Amino acid sequence: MMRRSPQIAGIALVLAIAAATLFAPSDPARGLPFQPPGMGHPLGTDDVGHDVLAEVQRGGRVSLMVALAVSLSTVVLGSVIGGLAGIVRRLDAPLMAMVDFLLVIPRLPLVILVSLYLRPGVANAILLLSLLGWPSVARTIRPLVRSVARAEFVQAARSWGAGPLYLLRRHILPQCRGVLLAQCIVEARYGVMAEAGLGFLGLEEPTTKSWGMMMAYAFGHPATFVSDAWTWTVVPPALALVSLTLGLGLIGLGLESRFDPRLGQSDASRPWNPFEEDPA
Amino acid sequence: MKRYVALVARSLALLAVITVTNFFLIHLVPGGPLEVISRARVESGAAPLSDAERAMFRRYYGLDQPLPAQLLAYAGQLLHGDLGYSTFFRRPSSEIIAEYCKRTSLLVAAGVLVAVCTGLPLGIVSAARRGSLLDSVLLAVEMTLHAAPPFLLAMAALIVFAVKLQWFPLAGSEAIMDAKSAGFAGMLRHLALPALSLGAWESSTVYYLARNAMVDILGEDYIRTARAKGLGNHEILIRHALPALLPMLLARFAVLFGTAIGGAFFAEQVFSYPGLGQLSLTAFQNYDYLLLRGIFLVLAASILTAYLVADLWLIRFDARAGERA
Repeated sequence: MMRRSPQIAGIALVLAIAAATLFAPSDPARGLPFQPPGMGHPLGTDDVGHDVLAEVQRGGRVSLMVALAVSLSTVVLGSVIGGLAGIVRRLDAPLMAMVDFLLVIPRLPLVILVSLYLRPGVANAILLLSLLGWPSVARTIRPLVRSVARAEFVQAARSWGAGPLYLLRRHILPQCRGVLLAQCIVEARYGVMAEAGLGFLGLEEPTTKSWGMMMAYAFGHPATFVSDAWTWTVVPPALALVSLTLGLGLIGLGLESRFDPRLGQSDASRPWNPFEEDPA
Repeated sequence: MKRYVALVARSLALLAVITVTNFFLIHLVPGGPLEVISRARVESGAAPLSDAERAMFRRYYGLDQPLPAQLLAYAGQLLHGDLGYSTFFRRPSSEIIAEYCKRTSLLVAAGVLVAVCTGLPLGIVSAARRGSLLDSVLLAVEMTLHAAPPFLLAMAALIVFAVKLQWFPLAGSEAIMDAKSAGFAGMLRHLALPALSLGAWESSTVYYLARNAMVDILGEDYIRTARAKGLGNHEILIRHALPALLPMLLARFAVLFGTAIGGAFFAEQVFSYPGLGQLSLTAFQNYDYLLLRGIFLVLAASILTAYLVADLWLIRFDARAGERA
């Protein structure tokens, strides 16, 4: 029970945020700018009189959407490509060469720079994060696929003429679901962080209601720091963001120690390694 | 020797791919290069380009040539150290980038230094005392640090140390720009908060790396042998575990460098520290895509160089690393 408690806390945090975004008012009441928390506006209002609580709730939708989209696309792409490299011998060398090639590109600076070229926006951010994120998943999944592919039931299916994609989908990837789930969490967490960062640098559509943008607007306003306004314009989105990343991190911690094949049974208490890349 | 050549060749190939991508990116800009020039002119108060001017610019910049010819011309330019002309600063990009790059390098170097000086010892202590109260506390602290995005730590540092306590300047790096008048101390005062917040953010990464690697090492047979010989804990750590740990960390040093550059973008934004991150945002806001292209290339080349140096160095340390490369 003690061992599971961080994971349960993580799930609770993420679920709480997801629930809060569900109850976001569609037409929040506007008030005077920079009103401190009180009646009508539980968390006060920002520089243009928006209700901070409603904004935080709506910003959560962007973060959760990015988390979901990035984790799904990277894990699907990564597991198919890494899986093919693992079971089709002819594809192994070229696919892994491509993976190694992409893996050395640091994602965050590149995403920022490419967002500057393209029209900045959440959709572009998701696309870029996915394109640069799958190689680490492929790297992690390939050795696993190789070891599962040696199992007799996979050999049997192969001897009946099952193709590589069928083998992956039907027999091999289901055996790797724990690691795939852990990779989903890692990628989701990275997506949330990167999206908030892009928002903070102002690299999203100006109308996007995201936590990063909220903090950027609050931070850019001169009144924020000469008064105590930052306690209700900056702190709520910041807390929401940290809760989400911390929640995902805690879930990842539990998953990795349960499913990471590199960790022996004796060492289940080893911390989750935040590095998504394989040690090169 | 073959391994060295392979590594260098791989880096050069990557650099070539990045250069070509970089070249094509400017054609992906909404509206294309001519629209960019037109917008830059509207921004500075002039009329948008007429058709005759468009034709002139197309000829002047060689945009009427086929793309491969343009790419060759670009490559030729690069070989002469010419990164293009900044339309916003009205100076060669290379001059401006060199000036801003100095400050970013300083920030990144100081940040990585802080991260290594705090994360490494804490990680080793945590691994050596695994399961203890100290270990749990350190894990919890580092995990929270790791959950905070880089700009959040920077904002917290700004609010506490610059706004409330007023120990450090709020923004900028004026002292760096005229180092003689303000002196070294002034430069450090401006650098302190951005570098510390960047370092604190990065230190959680170093901590995890060091702790995980050290836990692995301490489980090795040769450590048990050393213990069986009767060596004390300190002797084992210093004489047997550390020499094994350092090359492992060195391999990751390049990764640290890459993430530190990403983190520096945010530290620069929060503290208005005029480095490459701020410069690229300025270039973006002013449609100065030639400058942006130059920054992109310089950053990519420096990160690639860091990876290459780490890889080459690693071969000297660890014969196994080369086999995999």
